[in-house]
Amino acid sequence: MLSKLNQILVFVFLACSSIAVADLRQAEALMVKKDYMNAAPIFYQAYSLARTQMERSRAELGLARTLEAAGLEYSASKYFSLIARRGPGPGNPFFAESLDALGRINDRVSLGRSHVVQLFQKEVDPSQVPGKARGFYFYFKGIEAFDRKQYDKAQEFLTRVTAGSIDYPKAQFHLGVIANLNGDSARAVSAFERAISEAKGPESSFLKEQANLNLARVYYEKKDFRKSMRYYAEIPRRSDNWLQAMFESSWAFFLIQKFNNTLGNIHTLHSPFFENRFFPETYILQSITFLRLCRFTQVKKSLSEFRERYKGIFRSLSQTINENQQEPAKFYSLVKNYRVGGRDGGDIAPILDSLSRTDTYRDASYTIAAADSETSKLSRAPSSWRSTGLIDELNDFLSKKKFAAANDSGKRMLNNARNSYSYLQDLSNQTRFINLDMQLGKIDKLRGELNVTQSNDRTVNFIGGLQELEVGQDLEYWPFEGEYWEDELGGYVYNLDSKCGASGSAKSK
Amino acid sequence: MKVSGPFVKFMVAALVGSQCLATYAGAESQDDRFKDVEIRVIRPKYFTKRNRFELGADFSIVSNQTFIYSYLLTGNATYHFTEAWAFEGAGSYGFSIDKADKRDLDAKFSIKTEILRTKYMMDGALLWSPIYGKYQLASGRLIYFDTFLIGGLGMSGVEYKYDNCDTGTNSNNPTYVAPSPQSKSYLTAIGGLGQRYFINSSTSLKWSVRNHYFQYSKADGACDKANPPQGTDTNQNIVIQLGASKFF
Repeated sequence: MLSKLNQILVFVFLACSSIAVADLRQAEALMVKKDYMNAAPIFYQAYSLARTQMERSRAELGLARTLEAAGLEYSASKYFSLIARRGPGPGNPFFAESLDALGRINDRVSLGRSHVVQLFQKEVDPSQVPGKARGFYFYFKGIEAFDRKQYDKAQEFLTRVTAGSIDYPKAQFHLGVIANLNGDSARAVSAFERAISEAKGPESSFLKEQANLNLARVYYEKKDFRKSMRYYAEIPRRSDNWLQAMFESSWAFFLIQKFNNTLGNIHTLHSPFFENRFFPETYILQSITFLRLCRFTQVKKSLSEFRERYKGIFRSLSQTINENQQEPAKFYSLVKNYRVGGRDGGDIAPILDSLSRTDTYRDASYTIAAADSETSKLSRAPSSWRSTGLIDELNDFLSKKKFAAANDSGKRMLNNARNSYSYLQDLSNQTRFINLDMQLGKIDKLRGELNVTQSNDRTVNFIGGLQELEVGQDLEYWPFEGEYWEDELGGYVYNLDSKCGASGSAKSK
Repeated sequence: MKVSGPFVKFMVAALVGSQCLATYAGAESQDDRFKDVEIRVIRPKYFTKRNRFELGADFSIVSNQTFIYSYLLTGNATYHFTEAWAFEGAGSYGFSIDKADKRDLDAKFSIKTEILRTKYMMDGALLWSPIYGKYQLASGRLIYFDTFLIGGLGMSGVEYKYDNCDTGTNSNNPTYVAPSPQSKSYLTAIGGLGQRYFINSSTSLKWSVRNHYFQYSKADGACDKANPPQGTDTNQNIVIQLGASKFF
């Protein structure tokens, strides 16, 4: 009886195996004819019926290739990833090709950090990584270590991303950040500059802006405010980073006693065009700038405007964080509905706006949009995709990918939101200290604490737009008379003298 | 809309429907002029004219002639020695066409009108641009402009066709022969105003209205050269010019 059963099992195994092999041959023949839409379900059938690892690998690779050729990049990445995750070795001859393909797909549609991290969980000998995939491999290993704050390890991986790889500018950018964290500003500067010079094409503009911002910060830390300003001025007005550059350069102006420029920048940041942008610190900077000019009425006004603008946020933000703590994907949706759904963010609109401009939101949105586009393509696939079960498997994969992207992004954004809450609390405490010290007549002490740099940069004058005033330059002046003009944003310069009197600080330029 | 400086009322009238800001570009430094303004925009001038040549071409029409249309093509070369001051040399040449009214008067009532036909003009003039400003269109696009006043001297070339002189059977004197057509030049004083719209850092579109005022001898247009009328008369040509120019 038992031997009969064995015989049946062997027969079924051989039958399935021969069907799988036949399917593979048929699918490969269709692929040669570039009939990808009909080849894919047959590969999938071979993949489901495969009885040996080699058959399965061949089917996986064929399926992945046909899906990629059919423009279903994420779907293809699922099967390439299955092969790549098994790691290199004699039993996995398609490892190099799969990794290479994943690098190629990632260049076109970002796979997302969580996907790539899973890909490299198994330890791989770097010498086994194929040439074309090396940049991709080392870059993501580096990023993984960077996220875990293992900067030495991250540096080791990132330096192995060679010039010519599409990931090279990004790797250089991260190397710049690591060098700066290690206090090596010279190396940081050259890494950021390499990132800028190697980043090509319009899709690299965000990276270039980030590198310019970081160069500005490096020079700011070195108290070379003139150079710092030049890099801040490199951020174009249309960029999402522009207001950040305006804000940070306001501090640089403050530190070189260009108080009228500081106030001018803040005037831009407080314009109605940016009423939902989150720059609460500008009110503190504005108040201490007025304090430096001994304009105490305006100090009080700035502090009260801060309280007025942000008082509603505390309770609403805390409530929103608590409500979404267990469901980060829901928090992602909240941000998304604000950003693209036109939903009013209420009191926390500035926080939602700020989160919707982060890399983490941007990446997740991109992944979700690309996955949606694939789902829509799948709905038009031939009926054989449905009958073999391929469509269900791919839809399930895409839906999980979307959820993972939203969940991961939601977690990071919740963390950012918590930080924003603490930041606001900290700023709120600072307003109390400034007020208290003013009331107690400790203005001289407070002003002393705000004593700013004696840098030579003080001798340079700046016009609007973070630009140095040049001798003989033809300038145009426009008075601000209560009406904001879009083209004037970023160009404001106050015209206030210090009221500190003879014993006070130097007259503001 | 917000405007400042002289000629504001004129500007306001011209700018209804668009957001506009204009400022006065006088001799005193801008920093001094805006010293009482608490918040100012200070930035490099969008369009600088100092020490630049401007070459332009205009289509000109004399707008105040009752019986003819006069069209001229104008070429001008301008040197801007400061942002506000420039010297312009211009020359125009054209032709005129009789209006239907003139033809009807002749055909129906045998009334022959005496016409001063402007054939050419040339002048040298000083340009003063006291106002520059900007418009914001509904689309958000900004257009910078300046407004200039012009004053100078030149010559106006008038063509006399003597087609108003009675000849042949209609004439009281059958042997009378009308004088041969000729052109005469008259010293001309010119004054006017206009605007340039800067469409990029080297090109502008412009319009101007200029009054060409000259004195002419009545004898020049007389049909009877043996007994010409004595004395002089004056003529004004209000010329509207539309054109474009390039800065070098």
